[in-house]
Amino acid sequence: MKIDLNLPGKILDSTESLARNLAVMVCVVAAISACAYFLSPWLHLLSLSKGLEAVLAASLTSFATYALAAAAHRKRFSNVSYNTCEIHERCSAQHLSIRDNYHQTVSDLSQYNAVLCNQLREAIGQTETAVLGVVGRMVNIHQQSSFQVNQIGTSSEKSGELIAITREQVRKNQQVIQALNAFSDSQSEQLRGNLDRIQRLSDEMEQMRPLVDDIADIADRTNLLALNAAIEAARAGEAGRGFAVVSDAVRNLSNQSNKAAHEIADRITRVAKHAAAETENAKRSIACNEDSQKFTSLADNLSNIEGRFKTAALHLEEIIKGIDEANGVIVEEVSVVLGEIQFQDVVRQRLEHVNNGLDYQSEFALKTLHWLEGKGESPEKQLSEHLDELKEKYVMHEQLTAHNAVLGVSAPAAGGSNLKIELF
Amino acid sequence: MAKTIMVVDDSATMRLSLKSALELSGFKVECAGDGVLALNQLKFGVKPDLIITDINMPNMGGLEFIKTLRTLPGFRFTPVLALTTESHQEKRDEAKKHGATGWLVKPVTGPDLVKIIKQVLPGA
Repeated sequence: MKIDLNLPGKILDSTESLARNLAVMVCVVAAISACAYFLSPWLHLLSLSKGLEAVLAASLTSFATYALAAAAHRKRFSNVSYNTCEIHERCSAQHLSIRDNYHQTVSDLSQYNAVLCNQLREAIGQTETAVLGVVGRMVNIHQQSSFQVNQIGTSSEKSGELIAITREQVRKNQQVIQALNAFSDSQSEQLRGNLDRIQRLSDEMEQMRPLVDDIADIADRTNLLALNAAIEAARAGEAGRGFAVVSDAVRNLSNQSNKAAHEIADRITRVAKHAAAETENAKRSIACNEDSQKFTSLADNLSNIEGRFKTAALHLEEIIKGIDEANGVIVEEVSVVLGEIQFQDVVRQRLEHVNNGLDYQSEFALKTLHWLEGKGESPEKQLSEHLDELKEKYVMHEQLTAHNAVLGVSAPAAGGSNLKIELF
Repeated sequence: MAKTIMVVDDSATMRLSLKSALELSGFKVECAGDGVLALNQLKFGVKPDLIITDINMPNMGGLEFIKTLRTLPGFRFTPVLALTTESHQEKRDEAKKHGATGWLVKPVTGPDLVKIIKQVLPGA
């Protein structure tokens, strides 16, 4: 479709022509009316019937009225004609001004849109760069956190190993101490047994001492008896000679018995001394073994050390567990943030649609400009048609909703599945 | 051994955020900028256990990529999740027809994504 820009001028020209024609018509009607007016008395003299006379009079009056009206109209039309010319001139000037202004506006619009498009593209690029930086930093935070957790985990493992080694060592030491204690107990038992035996032996030896005295006494008495026998044998003379031999033998035997008794007494005394000495030694050994009960306290100390290690290990485990949980929360949060960063892609796509719309608007403005300059055809589609095409290209419900909200259209119900996550 | 996931998306933000989120969860991640680049990687020996692809991409979109992927030997049953802003039901149906395993609308948080991956990738 082409717009005739000279249409206002043409309208003015035709109006002027019409005014001129009307002026001529009015002059003719005025002349006829004047003739009728001046001829009316003569018509009366022609003795026309009253009805015809009335019709003629009415006709003449009407003509006169029309003539007066025409005169008035002529004047008015001449004024209109004058005004129309003035308007025409004014309109022409205004038309030129509008055309120049529109030309400039359309020309500027293209550039204006290009600037806006570029701004949008720059903004998209900027958000993308910023978001990539944020992602990098989030990953860095997570790496740092993981590093800390690993460090603590390694320390924990080392502590755990140390605790296990210590626990094992303590267990072994306790076993050694138990063995030592058992050995010590058995030694003490043996020593006590030995002591008892020595004591009993010593007692029995002491009990032998009166027997030795008895033997010595018997020996002395036997010796005295033998001496009496020898005296009696001597007194008996030849007859007692044999008896004297027997008494000598008995006296020898009693001397030997006496000597043996003294030797036995000496030996019993020596054995008793040894027994007393051994008893003292055994007592000292038992006392030493009783002192060895400090092994038990050493074992207790080791148990205490192990207990403290266990407490420290549990505390460390709790700390590590807490840090591990905190790290889990960080990972979860970072993961959520990384997901939410996808908004940039969503926004980018929406802005790219806006950019496409602005690009088309620029193209449309340029085509319109060329058409106005007579250098080409008018744009094939109106902006409203392109708006519909733009709507067809939307991929998100949100885009459609925003579009319909501006145009006051209610959004159609989404068909099919509207799930954000769907597994087929 | 860590499972490998391929991310196909023309947005650098998407690629990096998905890669980071998945690596945090212990996956190995390979990335491609569009369907053509992804197919090239697959032809050169990358063997992902699961693929996450965008739908609207230059050169080769997600639907065509899934369709072509299913013709490649060894990728007939590889799980493919479409992760997109696209909300047209026809596209969703088409993806299903071409053999996509699931449809996810952006944005999807890391934990949700990992949950879905564990659902479609046993042992992940």
